Amino acid sequence: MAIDYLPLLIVLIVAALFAAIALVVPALLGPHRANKQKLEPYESGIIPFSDARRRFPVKFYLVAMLFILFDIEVIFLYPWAGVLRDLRDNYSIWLALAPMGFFLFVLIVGLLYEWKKGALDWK
Amino acid sequence: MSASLVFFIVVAAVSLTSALGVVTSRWPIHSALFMLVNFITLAVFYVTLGAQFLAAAQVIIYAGGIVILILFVVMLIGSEKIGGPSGHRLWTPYAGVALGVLMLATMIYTFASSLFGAPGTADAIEAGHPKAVGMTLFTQYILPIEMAAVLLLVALIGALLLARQPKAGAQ
Amino acid sequence: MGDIGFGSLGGILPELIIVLGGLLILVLDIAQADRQDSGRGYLAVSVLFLIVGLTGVLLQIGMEPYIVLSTTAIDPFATYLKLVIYTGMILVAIGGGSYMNRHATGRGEFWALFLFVTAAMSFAVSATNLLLLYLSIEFLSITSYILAGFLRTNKRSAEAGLKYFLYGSVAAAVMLYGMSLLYGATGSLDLGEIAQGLAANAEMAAIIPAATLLTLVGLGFKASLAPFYQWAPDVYDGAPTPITAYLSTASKAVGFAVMARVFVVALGAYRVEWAPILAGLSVLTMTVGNVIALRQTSVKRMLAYSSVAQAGYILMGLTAVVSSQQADLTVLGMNGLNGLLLYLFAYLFTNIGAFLVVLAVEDETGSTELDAYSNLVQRAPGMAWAMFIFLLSLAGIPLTGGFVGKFYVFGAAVQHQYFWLAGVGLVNAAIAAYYYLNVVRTMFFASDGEAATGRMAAPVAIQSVVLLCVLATIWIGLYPPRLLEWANSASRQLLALML
Repeated sequence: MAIDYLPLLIVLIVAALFAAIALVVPALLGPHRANKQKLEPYESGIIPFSDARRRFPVKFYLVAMLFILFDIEVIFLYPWAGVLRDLRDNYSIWLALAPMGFFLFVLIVGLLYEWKKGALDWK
Repeated sequence: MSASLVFFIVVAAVSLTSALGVVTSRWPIHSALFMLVNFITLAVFYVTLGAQFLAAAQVIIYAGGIVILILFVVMLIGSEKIGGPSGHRLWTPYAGVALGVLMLATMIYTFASSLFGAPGTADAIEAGHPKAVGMTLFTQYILPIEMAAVLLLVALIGALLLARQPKAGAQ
Repeated sequence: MGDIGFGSLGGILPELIIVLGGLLILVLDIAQADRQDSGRGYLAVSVLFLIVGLTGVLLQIGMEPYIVLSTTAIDPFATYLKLVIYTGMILVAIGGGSYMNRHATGRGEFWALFLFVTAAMSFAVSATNLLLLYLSIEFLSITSYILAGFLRTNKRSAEAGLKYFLYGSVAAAVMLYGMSLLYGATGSLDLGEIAQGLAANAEMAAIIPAATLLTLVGLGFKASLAPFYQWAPDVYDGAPTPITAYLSTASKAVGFAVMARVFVVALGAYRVEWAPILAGLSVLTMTVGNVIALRQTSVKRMLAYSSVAQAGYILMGLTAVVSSQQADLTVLGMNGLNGLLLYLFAYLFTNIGAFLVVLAVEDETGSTELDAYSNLVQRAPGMAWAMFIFLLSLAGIPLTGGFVGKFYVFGAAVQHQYFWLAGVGLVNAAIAAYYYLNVVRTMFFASDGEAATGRMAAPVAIQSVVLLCVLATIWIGLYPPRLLEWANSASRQLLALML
């Protein structure tokens, strides 16, 4: 029950504390001598040349779509993994494996399809 | 005040603040990130209510998938700052508020009777466990699950067909 | 719960075969990588799998009703509708397949989706569980959005796909809300258990109107009923013609079948409440469809609006189901529902045939406007006469299938004292006859326009399917006893489930 989630809560608290410390301690202890160059966003030493909030190419969206589809697949795998043993004991091992076998087969066909059609190529 | 009540109040405060952040933030990206926080607090509520499978689905699908999709859409259509109230029709905020109040009233009306009633039975609490959900899904609802697989395949084909630039030369 | 097992798959074998066929086509398409192909092989494979599926369904006729995998019913009602669906899809595949092969990019995808959408419709008409029901309708819808927008380079097709998608997703969300209310009120997703739960819990009656109306939005959308029809003309007009042919027949039949099953089995006890709503929708649908169809200059668009109007007539059948007593059902020839079923079958052949003629003319002249049909009788006498018969059937002239459908539906309305409904229907039928016969006039007696410029050569595939549709339309017009028997047993079986 809920007590099983205690480690998760501890991790969350530790992460939040770590982030807070990493922000607060330098702010208190470090020197503050700002100038224009220092306050600019930096990435690998390249001088910024345009606004970061510009439009992205639509092919990113395709990647997001494919991610969502396989993400939804995972949510079906999760309860199945939990009841695999029970299904085997109550029915038979084939009845436990076959449904997910077909499920995965269909999605692997999908994966092969997008692979062959070049959706995974970045051109 | 019990520990669980304190915990609830803290999470509820985070949840409400992030929900307000979604609608008041001027940057679409910030709205999306507030929404992520809100989804995660909802997952925490689901766990405390014993709906553990729902909590996992909330994190994996909504926090992990839908918010990502929303972020991508925001970046695709450009994430400029949203204008003030002049940007939309005059009546839309009022209509939104009215619908929200209506929904709140319906929920209070529905849950008022169970608010002071008996706590959930052990059966009802157990039903939210991933094992119980899995047992129902993989016996009674096996056909919908397999259909969902084919539906996901169709969605994949559709996404590729409609969004992909046709390759020059071939197909 | 104990009934899962591989043996229980026997009942859904036709659907299973169709799905496997779709997967096979995808795998074949993957295997041949980038090479261009004519798509004829896929057409052949699809038709083969559809025929195997149809054979499987034919073998199920006359079986005792039973439930497979606790969510699907193999009963006469579902079997009858599967006959409609598979027949329609086979006709569309043979008649319209080569058109899609020529114009579509991604032929493997097209045929795989075509088979998947058939399986989705098949599950939708046999689902007895709201979860499977919603999922299969959503499956049907999503696949149809893709198919409607399949011709990516064609602006109208892309517009059709987008409009269909926007309307459809809103309608689906509203319908899901209605279904969730039903589940919340009764704690069950099974249609039969919902009816029992509602009967046992009188205080839940308050939720029925909201749940019924919200569910009706989604199902009315699929069947293109009046307040939710706005997508239909644009989608039917813009989508590739073969897709239009199945959207306006098989897909619409699914909408009506699911509506009938949900309303009769789950909400049957409240028929006194929902019947007037359906009667109102029926009148609104046929009037709106006919009045707007009068003003159309494109035959394809005219047929689209006429398809909306026909939905109004079909709905009369479900309206007239209500006030009959349980005892009457076995003795009465007309119980409304059998009219609905007969209408769907007759409309299937008539409309697919009509759209295939549109397709042939479109292929030849590149236009769907009425001008393209002037003096069609001189260029393609066969096509013109076939279109003549289809239009007569749509108008409901005796000796055609359309008349039999209308006869049973109107008869049921009169028998159940819905005189005003039948009256409005008759007025509408008269209006409709005007614009149907206008096309006939253009085809046969157009005086303007220059004389015929050579003969129009329709492909053999279209010609043979059109011929088949003509024969079937006339066959249904002769009151075939076997078809009547199928429709009667299917309707009786469903009505017997009504609480």
